Amino acid sequence: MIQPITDPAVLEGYLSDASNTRGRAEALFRPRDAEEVAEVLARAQAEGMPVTVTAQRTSTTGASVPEGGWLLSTERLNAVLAPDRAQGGVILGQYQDQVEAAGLFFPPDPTSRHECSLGAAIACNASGARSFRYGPTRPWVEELQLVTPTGQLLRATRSTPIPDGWPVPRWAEPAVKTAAGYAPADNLLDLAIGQEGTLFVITEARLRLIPLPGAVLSLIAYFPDLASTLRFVERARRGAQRPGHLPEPGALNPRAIEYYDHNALELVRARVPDTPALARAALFIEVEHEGEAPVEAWWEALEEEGALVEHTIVATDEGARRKLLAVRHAVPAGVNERVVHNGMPKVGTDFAVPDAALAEIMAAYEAVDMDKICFGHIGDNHLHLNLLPTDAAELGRARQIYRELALQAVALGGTVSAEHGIGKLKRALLAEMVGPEVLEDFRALKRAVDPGWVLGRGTMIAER
Amino acid sequence: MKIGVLLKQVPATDTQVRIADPSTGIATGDVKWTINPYDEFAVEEGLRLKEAGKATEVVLLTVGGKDVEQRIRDALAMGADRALRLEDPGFEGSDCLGLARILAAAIKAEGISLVLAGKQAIDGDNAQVPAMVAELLGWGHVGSVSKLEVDGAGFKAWRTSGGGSLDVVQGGFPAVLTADKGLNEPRYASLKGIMMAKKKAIDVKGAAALGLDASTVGAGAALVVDSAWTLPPQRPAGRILQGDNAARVKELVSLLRSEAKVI
Repeated sequence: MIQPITDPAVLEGYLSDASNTRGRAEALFRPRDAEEVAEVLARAQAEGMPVTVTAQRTSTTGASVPEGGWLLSTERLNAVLAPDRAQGGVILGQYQDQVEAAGLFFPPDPTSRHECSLGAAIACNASGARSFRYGPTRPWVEELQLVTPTGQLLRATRSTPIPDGWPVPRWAEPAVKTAAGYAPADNLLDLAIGQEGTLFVITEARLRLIPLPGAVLSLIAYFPDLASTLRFVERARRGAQRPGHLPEPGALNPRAIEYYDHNALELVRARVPDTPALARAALFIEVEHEGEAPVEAWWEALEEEGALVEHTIVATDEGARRKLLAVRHAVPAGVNERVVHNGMPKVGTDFAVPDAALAEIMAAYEAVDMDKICFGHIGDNHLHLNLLPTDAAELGRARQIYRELALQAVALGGTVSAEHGIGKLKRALLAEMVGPEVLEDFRALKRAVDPGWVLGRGTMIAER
Repeated sequence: MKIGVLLKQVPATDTQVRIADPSTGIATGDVKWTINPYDEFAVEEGLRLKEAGKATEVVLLTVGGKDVEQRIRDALAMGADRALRLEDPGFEGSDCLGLARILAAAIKAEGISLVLAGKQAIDGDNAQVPAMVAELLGWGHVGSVSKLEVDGAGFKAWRTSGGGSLDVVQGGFPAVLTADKGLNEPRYASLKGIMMAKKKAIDVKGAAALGLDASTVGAGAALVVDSAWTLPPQRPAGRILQGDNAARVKELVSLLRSEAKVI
């Protein structure tokens, strides 16, 4: 029988996540295998005890913050079993390092990949810069071992039917990168991806691996204004390989297109002294290539769309690439410093919109009259606008602006969360996005899988 | 003034080094290569001297086969003017002195009057070649330079020496100076630089072209021979003590005394 830890000093380390919210819990379980996970969940279901799944607490949405009850940590389920098979508690980046040492590639690259767990990345269908080409985590998962909230062990592949009596919601997800709500799945595997620890605990995964790309050209290109930046984004993604699209011959075909606004560039300037003074925006781009790096094609396209092309910096090998990545990481680090300095939380968006709506949502972000830094996955029309309030009144205004922008993103055919998930902080936005009927369908599914509503209570949807 | 920069390709620091054969060295098949980081400081310093009008040309010199050309292109992309790749079947198996002889011959033939190099390469960590080059040429040498000033007459070089004290060395040209961390912050390669680098010349020269007596270099002349390669012994697995806390503390203290011998 697995024993709980109740020492408050130990529990203390498990009560908050990257959302800066804080919860409470009575006990912590650290199971060593799927059977122990099942044992804990069966007991919780019998006692009606809430259980929150926790791994590395990198969630920005409070998904891993407990609202009372028990904590179930996957940290001891940390074995890599084969190149394509690992337990849910393995650190994603460490797993990827092992895979890449064997010449293979597992593409999902959330920013937190060196801290977050594999199971959590699957549970929230995480994505990152490379998702432009490779999509989110979903297509890279082939099989999962799951434990249900009643303590049942299941194996799920794309040919595993959803058990009778589980009413999977039929709804039209926004046609953008999205991590919001239960997938309208036709198999158990797809239902388990993106459920944010509310339907299952993921104890083991078998993953789809591809050969490691041979060579990657990375570049940072600077632009004098937003218009030329957007023109270039259009050009760069024309004919590119994206989920469901093969590359067209002659396309620039990047695997990642990341955006930095002028405020983000101020943070970069501290590290790259020759950042051009005229730059009002920058794009960080990665291109996989065979043979020689396609520098001429990129030069020509940048020049034609009005980039400050002479200043474009590049990395062609791993060492130089790491230096460019350090430039990128200066941005979120700088945002966090500002948050600490301001003594007020940031309010950060995670919306994505369709390609055609990019310019409109960008204009709305630009028009926000508050201290802000905007950067992110522009290839997927998925920017993180970080509002940096300096006092309580501004914080209130930031939250109001956030809500208005979320509704605008939805009106444009977008999603309220492209990669962070809903967690505990965005339930109201999800409800607005899907409407009361779909929300009721979500509840019906949740009740069927988890009669006592014990698992991940408070995450994604409220009980009523 | 013509500047020569000595360049070496080394495995990237995150490469998992494996021994291919105890008699021949590391397995190079899956190694990711990079410019020796200290050499990057040397390239950057050469470029800055040229941009400041204190040098006319920055020439890269490296000993190696075709496989080092990508690293040469990387340094040309930073802005170096051209490169000499020194390759000859007779160079195979050279020790540090052999390499220094090859480089010294090329430096003399090129009419170079300032040689910049990294203070050491991060693979072998020998830190011998630049000083040997200076000795063979009869030039002055300052190692581990972290700040450099150059004027028409000569140079002033700052180097940290033992005990954290700072030496300031003044000298004239020709000279060999090696770069330490802190000398500068190497620039990023630019898209333009990479395109221009494709058009820059990499001349290949062997023993005959350098006027080098082949019996003074290569395996036959080597005074230092790598006799065997092994990885450091693997660290034994940690031990987890069982039992209740009181017993474990007792056992731990006794082990620290009897086995680890640290108390």
